[in-house]
Amino acid sequence: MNPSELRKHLPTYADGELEPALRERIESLLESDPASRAELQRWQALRHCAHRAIAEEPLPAGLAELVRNRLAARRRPATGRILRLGLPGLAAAAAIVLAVTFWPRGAQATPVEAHGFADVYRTCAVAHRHDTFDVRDKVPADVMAQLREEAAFICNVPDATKCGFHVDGACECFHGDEGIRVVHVYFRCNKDDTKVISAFATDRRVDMCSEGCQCPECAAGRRHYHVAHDDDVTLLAWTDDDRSYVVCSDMNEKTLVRMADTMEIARPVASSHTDNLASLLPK
Amino acid sequence: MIGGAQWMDSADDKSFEALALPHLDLVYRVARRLVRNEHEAEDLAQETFFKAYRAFDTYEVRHFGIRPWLLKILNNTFLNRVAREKKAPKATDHQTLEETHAADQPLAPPELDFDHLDEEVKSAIERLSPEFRAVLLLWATMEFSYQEIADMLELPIGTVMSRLHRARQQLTRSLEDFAREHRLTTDKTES
Repeated sequence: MNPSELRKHLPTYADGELEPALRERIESLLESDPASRAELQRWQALRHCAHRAIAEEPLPAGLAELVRNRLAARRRPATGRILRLGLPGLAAAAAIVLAVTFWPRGAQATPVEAHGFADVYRTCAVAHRHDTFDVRDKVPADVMAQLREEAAFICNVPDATKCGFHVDGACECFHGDEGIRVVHVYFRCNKDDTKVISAFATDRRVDMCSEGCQCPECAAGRRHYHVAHDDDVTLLAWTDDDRSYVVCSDMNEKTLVRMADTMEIARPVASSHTDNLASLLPK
Repeated sequence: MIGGAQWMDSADDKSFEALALPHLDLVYRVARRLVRNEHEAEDLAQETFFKAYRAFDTYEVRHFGIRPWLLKILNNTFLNRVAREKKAPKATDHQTLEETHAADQPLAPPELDFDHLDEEVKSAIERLSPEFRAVLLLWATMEFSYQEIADMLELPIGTVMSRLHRARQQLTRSLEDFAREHRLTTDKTES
């Protein structure tokens, strides 16, 4: 073995990955080659240095507790607390957030903060493109069936695929100690991937109007948008067939209304289970 | 070793939390080096745990072990994100090989004080391509063989060895540049 071959094998030898016969041969050569021994030490030192780059990174305070709480929340029915969605805002491309909430008829609505949905859209749909449920590119009916099984509550969301979008991901966007369970599905535009529509389902009826929705249109079950703003995001909230929906977007209000008007609600194929599953919702 | 070495225990009588959460520190630390800031790393670690939680009933501890399994999910999640964010074809190993062929004479780490190079090495790791970074970080944990890394990343072992070689060469080159800029080594690194 010439010196060049010896040097070639040194990193692998340092990792303990050489075959026994070759390893012994290298060791024999190293005995009489101080320069190669020094080089071997540098390879070992480089690995230890890379190891320290990982090992010495401090775990952020509260991360373990946050993960533990969120896992626990996935296993138990949520109780009535205000939704708290407190992630820091992130720069957004042109995008839409669409939220839908369901509740049993006559149930008390839980107040939620509108900007929380906007933050989820910024973080999960735009910045990180979460897909915890592995639903990317699936058809909405299959996504709804899968999410219903995973989340064990009715989480049909408006279907944006007929507006030129496709399903790009879904995740559970629960934030806070005992908050509302929220399932988030988002769609991406087929022609412009900076355009995103996200849909949220919550495990209970929620109310984004701070004073509650008492207007005649909502009481009569007609679609009537309530408008709110969170920085550059516009939010539309409405009631339809005893279910509540919220649409958020950084588009202007007129465009957003036009988009929302075209949305149909995606449902799983086995929609006959809906009524039975409704009994799972908190009263 | 990072953390304990009890990860080959049976999962039969243990909940996901009891089995997986003790390894959050390792998952986060690797995530922190995979991505560029703490917030992204936290997010990546959380998504890894939720995916693992969902897939826990398919997890076979006797065949894989909880730590490699979590790291496999972490890397898949990370590489999926990168692929979606880039929206560009990934460089194949063949392409990478050709690109670096001109400088293919194996380099050795320069003669430096490696006890004081941690920040430079972190920066050099950040500059690696995502595919190379994923391999190098698993290697840097000092817990896994090449074959185990190949299993985690679902790559042929030859690809793992190739990427690791390239990653180490790039680290070495970065350290040579650093040494040259700070006049910390002899002329032989400048040839």
